[in-house]
Amino acid sequence: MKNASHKLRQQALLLIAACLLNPGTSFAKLPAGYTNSPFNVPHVPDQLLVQFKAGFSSDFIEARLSNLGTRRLSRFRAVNVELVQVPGGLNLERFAQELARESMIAFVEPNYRYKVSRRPNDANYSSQWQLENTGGNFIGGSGAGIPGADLNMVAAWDIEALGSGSRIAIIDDAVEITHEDLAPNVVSGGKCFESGTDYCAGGPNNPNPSASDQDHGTLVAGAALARGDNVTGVASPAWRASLLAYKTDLTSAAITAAINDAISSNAHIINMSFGGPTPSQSTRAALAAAQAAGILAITSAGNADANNDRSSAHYPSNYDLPNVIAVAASDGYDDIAGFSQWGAFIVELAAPGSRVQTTAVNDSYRSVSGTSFSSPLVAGVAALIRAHTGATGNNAWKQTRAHLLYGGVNGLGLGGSLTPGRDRKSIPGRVQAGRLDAERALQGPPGGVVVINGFTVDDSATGNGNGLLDANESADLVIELENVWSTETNVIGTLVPFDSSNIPNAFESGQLTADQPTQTFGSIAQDQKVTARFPVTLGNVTGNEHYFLTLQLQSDSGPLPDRYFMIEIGTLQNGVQVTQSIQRLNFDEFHAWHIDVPPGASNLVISTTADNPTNGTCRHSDGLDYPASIDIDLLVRYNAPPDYAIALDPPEGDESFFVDPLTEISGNCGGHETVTFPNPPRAGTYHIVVVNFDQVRHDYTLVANFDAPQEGSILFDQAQYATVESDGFVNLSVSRTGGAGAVSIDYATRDSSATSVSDYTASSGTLSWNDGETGSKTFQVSTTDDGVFEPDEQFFVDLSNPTGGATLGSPSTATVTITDDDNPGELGFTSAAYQVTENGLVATIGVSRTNGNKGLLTVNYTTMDGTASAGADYQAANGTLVWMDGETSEKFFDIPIIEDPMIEADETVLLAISGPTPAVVLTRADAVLTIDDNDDPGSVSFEQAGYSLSETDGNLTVTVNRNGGDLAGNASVDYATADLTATAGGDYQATSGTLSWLAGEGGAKTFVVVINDDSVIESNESFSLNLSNPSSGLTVSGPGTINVEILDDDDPGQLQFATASQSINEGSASLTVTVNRAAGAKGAVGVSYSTSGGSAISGTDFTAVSGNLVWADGDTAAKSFTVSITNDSLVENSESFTIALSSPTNGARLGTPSTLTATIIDNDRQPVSGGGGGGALGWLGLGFLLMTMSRRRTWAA
Amino acid sequence: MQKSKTVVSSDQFVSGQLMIRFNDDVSTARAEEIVHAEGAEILTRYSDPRMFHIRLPATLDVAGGMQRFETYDETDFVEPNKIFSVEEVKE
Repeated sequence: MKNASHKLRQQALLLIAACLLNPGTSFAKLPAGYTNSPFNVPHVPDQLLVQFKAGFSSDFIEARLSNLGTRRLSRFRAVNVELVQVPGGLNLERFAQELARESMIAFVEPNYRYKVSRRPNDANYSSQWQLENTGGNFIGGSGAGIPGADLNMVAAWDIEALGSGSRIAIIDDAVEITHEDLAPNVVSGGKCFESGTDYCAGGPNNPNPSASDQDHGTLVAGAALARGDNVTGVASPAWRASLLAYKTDLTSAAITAAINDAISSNAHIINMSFGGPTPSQSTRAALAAAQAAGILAITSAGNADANNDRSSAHYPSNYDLPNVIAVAASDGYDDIAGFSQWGAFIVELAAPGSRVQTTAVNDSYRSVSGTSFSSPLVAGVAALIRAHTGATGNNAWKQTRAHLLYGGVNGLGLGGSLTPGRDRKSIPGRVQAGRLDAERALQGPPGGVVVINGFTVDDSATGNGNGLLDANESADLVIELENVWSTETNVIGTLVPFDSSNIPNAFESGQLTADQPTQTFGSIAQDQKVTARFPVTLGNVTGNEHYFLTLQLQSDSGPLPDRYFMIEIGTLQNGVQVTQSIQRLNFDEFHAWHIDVPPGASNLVISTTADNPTNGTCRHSDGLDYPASIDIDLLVRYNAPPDYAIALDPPEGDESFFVDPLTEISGNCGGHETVTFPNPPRAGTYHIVVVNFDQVRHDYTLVANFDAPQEGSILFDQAQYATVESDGFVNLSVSRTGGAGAVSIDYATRDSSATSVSDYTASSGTLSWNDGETGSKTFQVSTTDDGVFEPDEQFFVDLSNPTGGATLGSPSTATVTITDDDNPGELGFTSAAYQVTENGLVATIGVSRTNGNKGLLTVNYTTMDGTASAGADYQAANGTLVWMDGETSEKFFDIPIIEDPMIEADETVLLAISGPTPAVVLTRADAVLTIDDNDDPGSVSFEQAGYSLSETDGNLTVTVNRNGGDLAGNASVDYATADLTATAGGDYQATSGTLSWLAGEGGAKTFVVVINDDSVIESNESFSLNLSNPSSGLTVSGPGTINVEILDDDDPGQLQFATASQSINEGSASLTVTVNRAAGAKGAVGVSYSTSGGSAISGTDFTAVSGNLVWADGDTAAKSFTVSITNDSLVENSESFTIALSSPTNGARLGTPSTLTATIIDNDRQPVSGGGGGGALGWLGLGFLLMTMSRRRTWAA
Repeated sequence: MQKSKTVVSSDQFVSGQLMIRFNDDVSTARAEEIVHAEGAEILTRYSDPRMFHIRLPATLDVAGGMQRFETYDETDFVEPNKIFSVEEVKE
């Protein structure tokens, strides 16, 4: 028993160890429907239901379960089933498998978790196949839809139904936010942005439609977040998400503003169900800013049923921003809708977009189609993911994106199973991650999410190097994987080859063999992109074919979802007409072809022809539709695929036709199209797209014709070659363009100005090309470095004697120019003029060598008298300057300068160079040296700026100073007087003469002018003093003329009061009045004075006086007299009287003032009393009193 | 004889208007100075202070305006104010 117990414990340990050591497979990574494992459906972790076979007691079972490492949780006696707890961390499936091997156990299964299948109660929910496809609620061209070909929302809502807290910004033409099924989810009222002036007529905060054609945004908004489970109208993926509505005129400016506002309004998701053919950098920049804010943008892929990967321009969905997700439309059969644009790399997801029931303007509901409605459905699921995960921050978009891409599934497909290459509408190969399954997206990725980001064809080593896969060519498919979530290690891919013979009813033909189908990508971290090369070989394919390939992926964590992509084949051969059926099945309206045009080809013409059925219409340039025979169009672009966005004729598209400017178009009505290229066409690959514009199935023929290069045309690559003599050689290249077979050509040099004797080595030879070999051959001719200075020279090389049928092309003669590099250069004075000061001792003169340095170079120099004299002013100089080989530095020679004390003008010496050896050009053969004289006698000036003296002063002594410079040489200056108002002989004695200084003598010299004293009374008078005729070099500084004023002293003067008025207090006894003598004092003079009454009355207010005042000769002292003032007791105003001077004697004059007004200030005023006021009131009272007294005084008079 | 089908570019834009952005090292004041120096008027400013929606003077069309602003080294990009279309299929 002990041994048995021990054995059981061992078994339990082994069972647990096996499960620990074998982590097993994570089936949850696989898309739904890809495994039959019961552990791949929801179940309770670490629990199993176990039924023992009949006959075992409860105690035995419990003991046995314990021995197996489990613990009984419950026992369901009626069915003999045990609910057991398994140790955590084990692989539950593997544990269950081990347990099931116990012979006493009847079955083991997971403890399944079932769901309540939550459905909203909205009135129109049953018609919303996009949310729950019942088969009957989608009726298309193939009848009822496939149940389950939908977003799988019923299962998703069991995980997250509301989306509360998530904000979706709908940027569109307008949104009716008052709609009964949108209003409850609206936040912030919405905004309107426009580029014009009338679109936002409802105001900047009103996103509601203002015109009947603004109905799109309401349809879009309802698809994303119509209020669900409210009995009313329709449901949506996110019943309670918040709506930020943006009405725009769909211009870059308005969209950019709306994105900006969505960022600042804390949007989590932005939906943009619109597009245009060219990118807007401003809108892209705004979306990049949204990424930085953590926002995911969901966009529509477009409705022109073209491949966005290949070339169909569509923005914003095509922006290379990871937070921008493009969405294609799927239908109720889980196929890509016939109108939808797609792309296995650039379009991430598909979602229902055909006949989607949603909200419409005026509180109504409509069924609508377009990728416009696929996009908001994904946006709604994204809102659920945000709410469910609680993702926040700047990387929240990344988590939501990873969930969405993980949520991509292959879909059910028409007929149930996927056959790439047969079912050309199927979702795999048309979008990157698949059709969105909301439940799977909400569950989220347990590991990495690996998708194909793109592929290139590398045929440089094994094929023709045009980067395209051609018939019978081997190449590498370089596939790039991207992991958008957590790291996957040891990722391995297996490329499934394509063999049309294995596909029933295949429209394609041919084979693509995977030569080494399994390749290792290695570890791929989050956001990392890794490539691997898959060698393939294409069979003999002659038509346009679309091969859908599968890349099976696995990693250390187990199988990853398969990924799919399409490669289009379409090789044209020159002159070989192909006939191709177009629109053999859906998405067959655009055929891509290419043709390689070799160098030397000419007359390239590409054209189509087609049958002429009478169905469809074609719109002519007059704007009318005419019955169409057929409408095939032709696009051709050199070295790159055409970039186009063409919406085809109705019913799918609005006939817009955008093609990049580098693409040539032939877009006639009908099937006959021709594109002719300028001759000769450029060599390279021409990419061709044939468009079936009317979407009716046709057969067309396509042919590219060009004239092949002539057989073995051989020519020089250049007509001119050049080399420098010292290089020693020149390489020439000759090309063979086109042709086949072995050919050869001879070449030989021929003299021109260059000779094979001294300038190059005569050369000749033969160049050969093997059969099929083209390209250039190079040969070399040696040149001679002779060291001789000579002109550039030329020789010829001729091609001749082509063999093997080759012809001589043009140019067949090349000219080789040998550039001489033996130039000794040129010489010249560095400057045309030199200057030196007389005391500078020596002048240094420069000569320059320029434009060459080859060899020894000499030149003679010499000096010649200009105004300077050799021996007196300078020492003559002559000699030779020498430059060594390669030397270009400036050379100098000196000219000694002789200093003298003479005051003289600046003088010149002429300079010349001559006799260069070798005889190079003298660019400046002469120059001039100027010797600046430095002998300065200085300057003279009056010491004073002027003189003023009295007539009686007698003599005026005038001083003149010499100073400045170096007082070189003797100096002199003349002086003289000149009349102004004073007259020589009468007022002064005219004087003139010369003042002289010896060399080196400075300082003052004087002369005297005699002033005459007369007795005439006169005005002051003046005369001038002038300096003139300074000796050589001497300058007169300051004014050369100054004035002398003679003041007259013969005036007896004028007599006048000291002041024109005087005041005196009545209480003073007397008024003293002063009279002055001014402007002269010659002789004895006198003046009379007397008073006269005014308001002051003589005898009452003062005592009248009169008298005389007398001055002696020369007396200028002031004189005075007094007037007695009467002090009365009357209160009165101030009063005045006048005093006048009169009768001056002996020539004296009356001055001003000669009349004086004396004012007597009354001193009898009494202080005012009464009222006890004071201040202002007191002064007012005084004013009244004064007025009254004045009146009484007047009466008294 | 068949007439040519009218091939019309659907790359539409608003006449007389541009979207322009200046380099990161250009001050807002300098950016506005350039706009005004060309006689243009700022219609919309964005959270990116160097991006503007502008109206050209009547003397300049969109191509001419782009050419004018592209002469400035400070210009990051200048483009027409493009018009996008909604994507509903008329069934």
